[in-house]
Amino acid sequence: MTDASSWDWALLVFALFAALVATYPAVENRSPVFVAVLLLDRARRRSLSIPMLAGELRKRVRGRQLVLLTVAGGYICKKRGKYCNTCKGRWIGLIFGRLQKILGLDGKTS
Amino acid sequence: MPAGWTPLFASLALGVLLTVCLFRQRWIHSLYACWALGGGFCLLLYLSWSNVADNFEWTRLVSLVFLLVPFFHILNMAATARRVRICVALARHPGGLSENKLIRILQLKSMTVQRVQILKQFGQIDQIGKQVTLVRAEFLILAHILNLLKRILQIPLFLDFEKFKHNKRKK
Repeated sequence: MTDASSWDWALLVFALFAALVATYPAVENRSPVFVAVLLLDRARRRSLSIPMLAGELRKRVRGRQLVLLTVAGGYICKKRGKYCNTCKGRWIGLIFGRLQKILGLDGKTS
Repeated sequence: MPAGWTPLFASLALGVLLTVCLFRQRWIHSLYACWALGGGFCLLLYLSWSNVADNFEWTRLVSLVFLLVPFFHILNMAATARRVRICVALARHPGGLSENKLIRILQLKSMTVQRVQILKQFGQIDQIGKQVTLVRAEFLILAHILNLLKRILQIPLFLDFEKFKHNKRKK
């Protein structure tokens, strides 16, 4: 085993920073998986029928709300009645669009 | 590049490649399982490679674990993030899309089915007919930890949708 150089410590700090920065959207986001888990935990005997769970999820994860959140995040904006990407949104769209193609997820996102 | 970084970055690159190949070929259908396998392979490869090269460092191993976290989040965002889906759809339609079309792209109708599938893949729920039951606590603990972080950062909690609407109105 060799001694950790200052480069290794710099890499460790960078990796920790990257991990924290990448985790933030997951904290900020209202993930339906966690919403579903919390709803099941609150239910009697921790059990719900799928239609009931779907109804409860729909109440909390709404399409319009998601669009407004995306606008609030500065990813998209409304121009003449239609939504368009901002510069930030365009880059995200391009990068993740390419990544979805690489992963074979093109248009089949879950 | 500092000495001994080759096994580190080569292991990371091979782990990333393995994850992408496993998922792309659909040998394993769960993206999370592919990531876990790719990540595990990457860590094992680094351990064996650095031991053979006699330059193992704990800090590098921990860095590798931390570097796998953003990789997971990027994969997860590509697969499930709805804001990303909106941006990707708009990147493909530079002329813009109406709100109704954007909401249709979000595929919220299939949201429950997909999430039940994910929870089943992780063994968190049992499904008998149309009834689902929470049987394990890992995701619940994670949800409580994320809720705690949300509280600290003053972000609306997972089930706190009324508060969110109220805050929006205040703005």
